[in-house]
Amino acid sequence: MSSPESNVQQPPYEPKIIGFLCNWCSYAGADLAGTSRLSYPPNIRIVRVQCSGRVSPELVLKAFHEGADGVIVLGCHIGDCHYIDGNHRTSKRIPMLRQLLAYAGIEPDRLRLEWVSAAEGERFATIVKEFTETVRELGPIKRVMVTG
Amino acid sequence: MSPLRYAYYPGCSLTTSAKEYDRSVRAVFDALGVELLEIEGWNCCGATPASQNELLMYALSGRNLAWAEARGLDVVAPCSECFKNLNKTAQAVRSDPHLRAEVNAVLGDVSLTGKVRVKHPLEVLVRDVGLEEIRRRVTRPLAGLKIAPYYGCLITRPRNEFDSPENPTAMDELMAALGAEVVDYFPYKTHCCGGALLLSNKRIALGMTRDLVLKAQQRGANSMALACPMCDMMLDPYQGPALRAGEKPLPTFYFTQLVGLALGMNPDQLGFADRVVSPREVLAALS
Amino acid sequence: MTPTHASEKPRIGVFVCYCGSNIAATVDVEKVAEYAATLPNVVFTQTNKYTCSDPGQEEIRKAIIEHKLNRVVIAACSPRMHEVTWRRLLQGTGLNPYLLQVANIREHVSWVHQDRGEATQKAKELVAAAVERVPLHEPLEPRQVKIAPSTLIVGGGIAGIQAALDIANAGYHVYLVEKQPSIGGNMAKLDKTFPTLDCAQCILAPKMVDAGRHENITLFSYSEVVSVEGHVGQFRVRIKRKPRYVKEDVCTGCGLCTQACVLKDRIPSEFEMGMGKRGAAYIPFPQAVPLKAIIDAEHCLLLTRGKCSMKCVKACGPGAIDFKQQEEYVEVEVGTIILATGFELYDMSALPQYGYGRYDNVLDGLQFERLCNASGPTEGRIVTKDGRVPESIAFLHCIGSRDENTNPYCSQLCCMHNLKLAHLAREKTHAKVYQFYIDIRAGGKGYEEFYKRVQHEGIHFIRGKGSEVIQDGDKLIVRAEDTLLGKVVEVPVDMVVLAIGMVPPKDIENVARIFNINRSRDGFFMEAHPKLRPAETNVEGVFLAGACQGPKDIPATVAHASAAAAQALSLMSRGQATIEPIIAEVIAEKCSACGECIVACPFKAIRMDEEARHAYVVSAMCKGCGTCVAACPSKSIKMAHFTDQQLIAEIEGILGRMSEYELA
Repeated sequence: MSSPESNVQQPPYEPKIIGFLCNWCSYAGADLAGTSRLSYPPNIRIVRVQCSGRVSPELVLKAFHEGADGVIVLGCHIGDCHYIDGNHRTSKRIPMLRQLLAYAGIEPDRLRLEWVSAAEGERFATIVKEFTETVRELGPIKRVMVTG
Repeated sequence: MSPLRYAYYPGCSLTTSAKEYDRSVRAVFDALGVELLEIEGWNCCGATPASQNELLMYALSGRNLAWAEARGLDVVAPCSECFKNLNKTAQAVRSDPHLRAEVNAVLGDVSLTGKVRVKHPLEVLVRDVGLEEIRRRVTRPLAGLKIAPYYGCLITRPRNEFDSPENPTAMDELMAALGAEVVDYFPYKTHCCGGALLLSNKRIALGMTRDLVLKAQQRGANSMALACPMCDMMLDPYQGPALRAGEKPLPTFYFTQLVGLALGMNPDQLGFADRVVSPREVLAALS
Repeated sequence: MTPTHASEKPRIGVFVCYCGSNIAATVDVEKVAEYAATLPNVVFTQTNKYTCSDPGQEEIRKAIIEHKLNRVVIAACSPRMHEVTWRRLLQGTGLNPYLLQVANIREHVSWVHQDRGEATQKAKELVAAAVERVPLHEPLEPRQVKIAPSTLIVGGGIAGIQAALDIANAGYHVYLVEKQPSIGGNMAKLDKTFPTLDCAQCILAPKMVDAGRHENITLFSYSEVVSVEGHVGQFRVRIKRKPRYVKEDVCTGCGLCTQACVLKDRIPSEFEMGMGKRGAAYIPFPQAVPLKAIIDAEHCLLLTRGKCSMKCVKACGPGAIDFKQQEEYVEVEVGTIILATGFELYDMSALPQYGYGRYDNVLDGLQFERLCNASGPTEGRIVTKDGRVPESIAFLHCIGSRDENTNPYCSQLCCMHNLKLAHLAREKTHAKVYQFYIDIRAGGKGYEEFYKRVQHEGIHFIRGKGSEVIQDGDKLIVRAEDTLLGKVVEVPVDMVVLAIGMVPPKDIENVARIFNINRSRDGFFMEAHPKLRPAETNVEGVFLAGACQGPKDIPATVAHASAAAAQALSLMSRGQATIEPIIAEVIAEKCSACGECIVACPFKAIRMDEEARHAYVVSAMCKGCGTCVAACPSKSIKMAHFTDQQLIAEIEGILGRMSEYELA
């Protein structure tokens, strides 16, 4: 029989996810998911930026440093950027950053880049669902204490 | 280029009523250097229980696919019913994680990611081997054959990248590459053969078959190429009962039998003796 | 005395909105407010039934004054919805409007999550993030821009013409750009219009002439917009004028060259939908505006092969033909823009089963219009390709509409269009007429009545979508499932007319890019709000008119075009607009003059001060994307309202609270 202690339930692991969404396409797409009442897991917290090109490596690293288990950057589809080609930079920067994360002992799959247009509420919900599952499978992020 | 290798799924028809389809696929693929590994212990594609229980269909289909996926092979399925079910399962499991989990729970010790692709032998010949290569290997051009290419309803569905569901052209191109004359068989090339109605309403089913034969002849065909055991059932053994007195029968072939013939193989090796509508006359013209 | 802000200790007020039950049904609004009260710097919290309503705004206004708030957090709907409303509210109390932060707890929380506990928790964290961020906000001054008193209208169909006349009549200048050699668009091809059966040309032609002659309208026909720079009030537009090879100012539109052309009646006419022929020198149609000839460079023998007897040149009295004409570029500056680029028919190559383009007597609705039209290729006689009067005609609805394999949406006007064509067919031929339909959609003034009338004209309605058309000798056999009888029917007819769905023009993607606007899922341009801002876009000063926003019939198109014109006029009559001060600034003393930002900027808004050795932002050109900030290796660019510190505070706010939750 189980002891009283083992009845104390550990709360199930819920990943913490920060989403950087561009104002013109992806944030509007997330709004559309809301207006269409499409349900997705509540783990994501959305930070609005003007353009996905604004998301510097520092912001992503800061999010991981503060304890995020996953970071997702969403921008306009290539060619549809409100700022002409701000997202071209993003499309180079994030894959590069994924490689660097591996050096820092963070699984690259914890960082994801996708394009979501203002009309793609369903796509937004699907991506959030998938990414939440991916991060859930990876488990809590390993915290490396830097000393010195 | 590494040699082409596929997992081979014959299905029940190819071991019974469509043995010549099975023989000709194996012979042609062998001659073209395409390796087929028959799926060990393959089971029903799910065609029969599909109408009763969807999960059962996916699981039956999925068990066959899992064998191929575990070996990193794509699947070749000549029977169009099997092709449709396996292809539908692969697509559904790939795109729907929930279904994938359900199917894998049923499968137990094997599992499926949906990475596997399912191909009809027509796609393998036209796309993977390539028309150029086939044209190069033809030793007995099919000059004199005026072929109506008949696709049936299943091999272009569910809608896929390979060919148009309303006006497919892959078999037209393949037959032309063999040196045959191809008649324009649109829109009949995808019309129903009547097979699905054979048990419930034989009169209508035979009427549909007759229509296909007459339309092909009106367009100038002296033979028809097939890609499905069910269509074959209607257009070969049931063609006689479908036609009325005085109407001329139309010899029909599995398209792979015609490929084999053009590659110079012995007709016996390709199962021509099993055809009910005699092909003798039309083949005699080939010399 | 208005409070000064940046230096004061933050006094934050947090207002949490019920939004009726839109938020409150899933989020425990009172709990969120209670929690907010425990956060640092928060001196006041309140819940409101509707934060955006007058009473809601009044409550916030009072609280700001009574509690001397100098920062405001509103937890409600998306900032894309009401941020502007509340900024105005702050301004009214003397607070700088940018000292506001909105937490989106409706679109991103209550509407997408079901579990009340989880939703409330997420709402709390988003409020906490806003409370962390808002003390770092700085007061910003919106930039005022002048609105130039002129409008660019792209597309000269009925939508563009209507909008152009509305604006020109109000005394503002219009540049009307049309891709084709004449304005008129699709409406010019119609014979009659439903439900009143007025002659389309009779009601359109006067408007076309007005638009062509109006002193306030400059018409660029056979021209395209190639680029747009600037912002609301001051758009610089570059227009390409394609060579007509006819001097517009000299041509009198007499048509002698069209008679003389060696290729006369040899080339399918676009206006006649391929049903009639024209020459290489041609006038698109008799009522064309401008009524000028044009030489088709793709077919003209001289222009393609370099050899021709040039009878057109000899025939032209005033000497208007000029084979040396080149492409020209014109630049104009406008304050507002209206897009009226219309629609095209669905590309039927994906639906070969209907035999369109394969069988002679399978037509689309516009081709049938040309057959009905007295000035059309058959002078109004409805006949088959080989000249027979059809004894039976089938109209097929929903081809390329309401179909998962093609377009899921309804093209809205085809039901009525088909009914009108059926009426014309009965009137002119006494043929047996069939309608194959899914269901008839006749919503509109006088539409249902028209449907009833046509029902009594002896037309056979078969409820079932036509699935296939097969040529059988002289006859076309239409196959369908009659869903009322529950059986498959095959109906032999002499002619088939397809109601082909409306789709965005092929180049719409490019147009969307040039004007920087979004498209909705159906591919048409996206309006700013589907109900309340149907003629605006997400780019200030750019408006939509007609079918470029989605399928519309003529009455709806005209109403939409007038709405777009009214929007443009209201901006221009105000004379000025504010644009957001969200722009970048280089911190000169930190800049190492590496030039990375100059390469990164999509708008070429950053330049190098070579003497002082640092980069600087040309603020009028900066659009505020922040790409330069992310590119700068020395962190010496500051993005107003989206500074690193502000975004980091937001992240810390979210994750800090998350950890607390975990410990609890």
